[in-house]
Amino acid sequence: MAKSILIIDDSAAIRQSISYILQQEGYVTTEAGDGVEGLQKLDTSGKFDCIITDVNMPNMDGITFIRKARENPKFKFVPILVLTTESQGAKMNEGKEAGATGWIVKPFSADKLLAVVKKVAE
Amino acid sequence: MNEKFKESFREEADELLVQLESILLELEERPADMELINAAFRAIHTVKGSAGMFGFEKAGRFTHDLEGLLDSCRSGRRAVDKNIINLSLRARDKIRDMLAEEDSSGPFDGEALALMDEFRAAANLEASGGLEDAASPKPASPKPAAPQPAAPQPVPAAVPTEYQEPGAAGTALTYRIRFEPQSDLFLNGTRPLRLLDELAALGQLSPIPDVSRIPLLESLDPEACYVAWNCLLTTAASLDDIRDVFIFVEGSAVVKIERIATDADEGEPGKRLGEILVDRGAVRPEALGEALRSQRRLGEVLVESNVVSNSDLESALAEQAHLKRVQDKQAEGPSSSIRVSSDKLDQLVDLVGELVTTQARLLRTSTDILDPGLSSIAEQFDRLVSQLRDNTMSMRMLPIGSTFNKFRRVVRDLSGELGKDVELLAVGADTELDKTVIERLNDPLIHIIRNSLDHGIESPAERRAAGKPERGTIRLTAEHSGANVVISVSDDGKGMDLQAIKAKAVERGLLGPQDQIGDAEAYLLVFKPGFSTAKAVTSVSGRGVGMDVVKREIDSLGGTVSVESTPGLGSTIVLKIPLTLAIIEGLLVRVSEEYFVLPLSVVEACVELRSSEQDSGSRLIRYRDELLPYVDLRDFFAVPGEAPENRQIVVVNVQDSSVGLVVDSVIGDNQTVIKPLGRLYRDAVGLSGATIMGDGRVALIVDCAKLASSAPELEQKARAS
Amino acid sequence: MGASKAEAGRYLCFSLGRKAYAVPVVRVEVVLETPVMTRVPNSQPHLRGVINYRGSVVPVIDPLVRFGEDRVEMDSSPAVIVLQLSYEGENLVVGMLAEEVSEVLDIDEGALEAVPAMGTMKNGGFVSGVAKVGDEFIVLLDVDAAFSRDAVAEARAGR
Repeated sequence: MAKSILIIDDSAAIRQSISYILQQEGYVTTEAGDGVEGLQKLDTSGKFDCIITDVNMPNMDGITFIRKARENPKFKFVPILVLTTESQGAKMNEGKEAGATGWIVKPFSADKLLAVVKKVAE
Repeated sequence: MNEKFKESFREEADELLVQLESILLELEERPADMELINAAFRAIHTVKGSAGMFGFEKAGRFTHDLEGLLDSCRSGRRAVDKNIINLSLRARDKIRDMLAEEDSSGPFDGEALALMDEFRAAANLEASGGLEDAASPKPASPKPAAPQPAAPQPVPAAVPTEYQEPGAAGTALTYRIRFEPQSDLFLNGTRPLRLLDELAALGQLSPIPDVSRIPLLESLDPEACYVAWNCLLTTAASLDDIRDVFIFVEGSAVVKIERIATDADEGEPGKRLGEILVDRGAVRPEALGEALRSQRRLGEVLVESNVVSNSDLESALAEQAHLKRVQDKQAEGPSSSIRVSSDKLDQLVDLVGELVTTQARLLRTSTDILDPGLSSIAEQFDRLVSQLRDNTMSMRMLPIGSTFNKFRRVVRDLSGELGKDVELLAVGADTELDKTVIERLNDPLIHIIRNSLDHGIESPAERRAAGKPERGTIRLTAEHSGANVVISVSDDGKGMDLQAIKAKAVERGLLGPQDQIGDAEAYLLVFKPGFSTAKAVTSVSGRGVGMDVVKREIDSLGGTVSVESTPGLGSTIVLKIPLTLAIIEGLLVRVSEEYFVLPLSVVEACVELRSSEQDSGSRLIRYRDELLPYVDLRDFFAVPGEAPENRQIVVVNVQDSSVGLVVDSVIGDNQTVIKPLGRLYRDAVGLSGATIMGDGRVALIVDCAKLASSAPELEQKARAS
Repeated sequence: MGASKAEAGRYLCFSLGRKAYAVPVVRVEVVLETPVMTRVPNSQPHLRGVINYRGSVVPVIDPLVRFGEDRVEMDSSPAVIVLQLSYEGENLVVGMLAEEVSEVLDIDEGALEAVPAMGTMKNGGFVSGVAKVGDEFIVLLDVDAAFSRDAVAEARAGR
């Protein structure tokens, strides 16, 4: 069965491009524009095999989103990847503490994205 | 992905820049509003993060510098002032221009460079005019390196405890990897098995789970991870590649990676279990010495005496096995080859055989003399000899495929002669076995194939009538199964007629008219001397010999023959042959004054036979909560002399069933050069060969399969009496 | 039973069960004075065991039992004469049990006598001839026949 992935980023361009890359590889994707919308998707969708979230977003940032997602028993063990930039070492740790599984450093190539998603989600 | 989303990014960035403009203007009014500062930072950050993704690298780098400036405002290190607002607004315009450029990879223009200088200058202000850090040295003079505090360095999560020069490019090295996750590993969504899969993708991996941390059920948290892994990885990948696998679990797992020296790079023979255990710190050298002095299997002794834990032992054993596999693999790697005449090879094997025998004598003498210097030489010599032996034996291993090709010709010629249409399918042609075994298999296989062609496969007309394809098929397969090679010849012919076989056996006096025998046994009648069914019909089963030749030859190879057949669908003849004939690991046992060798490959355990069990007369012993039948070698081989009070049972496993063999005492492991007993002893029941011991005497090798098959019978007899 | 098959030549003489026998020297590899013999269980009675001869495992045959007579119990450990013979068309090295190996004799045509119709052995097929040396009769063994497969059957039938 195709793996289902939730992508949360306030940049539509980033969201769409990640979506596109993953779809090419046979993943099913769902997009959300910020943490609040992300949580809504968690409530309304059956399951995700992996969640990719940006950190800096309006309304609800990625770290808060991860904390809240982990409170939901359904998503307690789901791999969550954080989109981050090199300059944000502290964010990586914060993300890990909140319950993120790993991170993807921006900018990234399609290959890198797929490698990381495969690493945690399959 | 660039082109497809570039436009969409441009639109988005434009929007963000418009937003940024109004934020900055508002910020000019209320320079202390943190919310506004955060919003500005976020907008810049988003642009920066995406710019690089869509090929706007120049804009990305430029934005990065601006972001740094805003970050210092955001963190409170720098107050927002008119200069910052001005600079940011100009930078924003510049970013918009950069994003609009067709070629976004060119060098920065003068304006951009000037702006970046100004960012830096503004950042320098941070040091002198910042809210904190007022005491810091002026940025004009470069910061001197602050003296390191004497406090101990925090230990990072992943430390290679011993990092050595990586091998030359492409050389595989072996690493010992300890992966010990914290119990909350799963709560991060980490899947440890994925990590192991990743490691496995790097090379040859032997993962050994360490379950020693699993608590009792009552205190077990089902969401916690208690398992750790000890892995051995042989890979050409770099240490960094290996550490990358664990990149996401730094901090939530202890990962130790250390390179271990393999024989290949040290030129030393295979590591002994004891050495590995000491090497890993699982056992002290003194304890090892003590354990070695008792004459039993080291691992068992060490576990029994609580010197090492089971899991330590298990992983050390796995390490030993892993290193051996790697070694074997390296041995078979692509390399140049030379031709050596098989005579020379045979001579080499003979010499190695002599050497092994002499080595046994040396070892025995050194144990008698008890000189430490001599003992260590003897032990090292022993290792070298075992390695030499293994190497020599592997030289004799050849793929069976060369023989298979000959059979194609046989099938082709013979099917023409018989007016049949038959195809030979060969599977497993690359299966390797001892050269002499291959040679000696040639005739039996030709015989079996001829027989299938002659008696199994029907004529095209018959096949058509039976609703089968006109072309018959003979499948020849070879595959390894433990220390054996299983070769089967199956045809899709008419199958064997059990009644006809029995009738014929009776007619030839091979079977009494009243004898009741099972099907499997009945099929084997065709291998009896004098049964031959071929002569009457055709000349093809040739040279006046019947299938009895097959049985005899396979027997002499120490193999077994079995037959399966389904009327109308065909027959399969299965030969099970030991890989090599020359040298095996044996267990030397004694009964009275006679010595016997049991192949170590079938030995499961050695246990005491208590006299109470001997008296029971049931011929069953309790072993691991099972009742096993046993055979007393003293009875079976009619050994003279009284049985001592305490005896030993060697539990052997043959053909999937365990049987105990009662001996007076177990002497120990013994490299056994197998010598044939010769044709005169062809019918000596329960013996498969002989070997020459260290003192020059001959010991007999026990045919455990034969003894095992006689055990139930003996048990019944015992019960009846 | 008629004329002798034996040829003149050098023979190795040995004793077994207080009778004198001889085998052609050309067939003898070596005489082992007191080799360590290993009994092989579950084998035919005329096979006394195996010895280590230059790294090979060589079967040892008791010729008397082979010829259908009873096993001779010996006080001291027996000697073994290692022989080359042809067995089912192949060369085979076997050891032959001997109580005492005495000497090598040149036996000429004149000393050869015909095999007695009712010889000392139950089956004369193993005997190639008899030589008279001094007052003593020496039985010359046909080593190839003695160990051939058919001879076994004959010996059994003859018992």
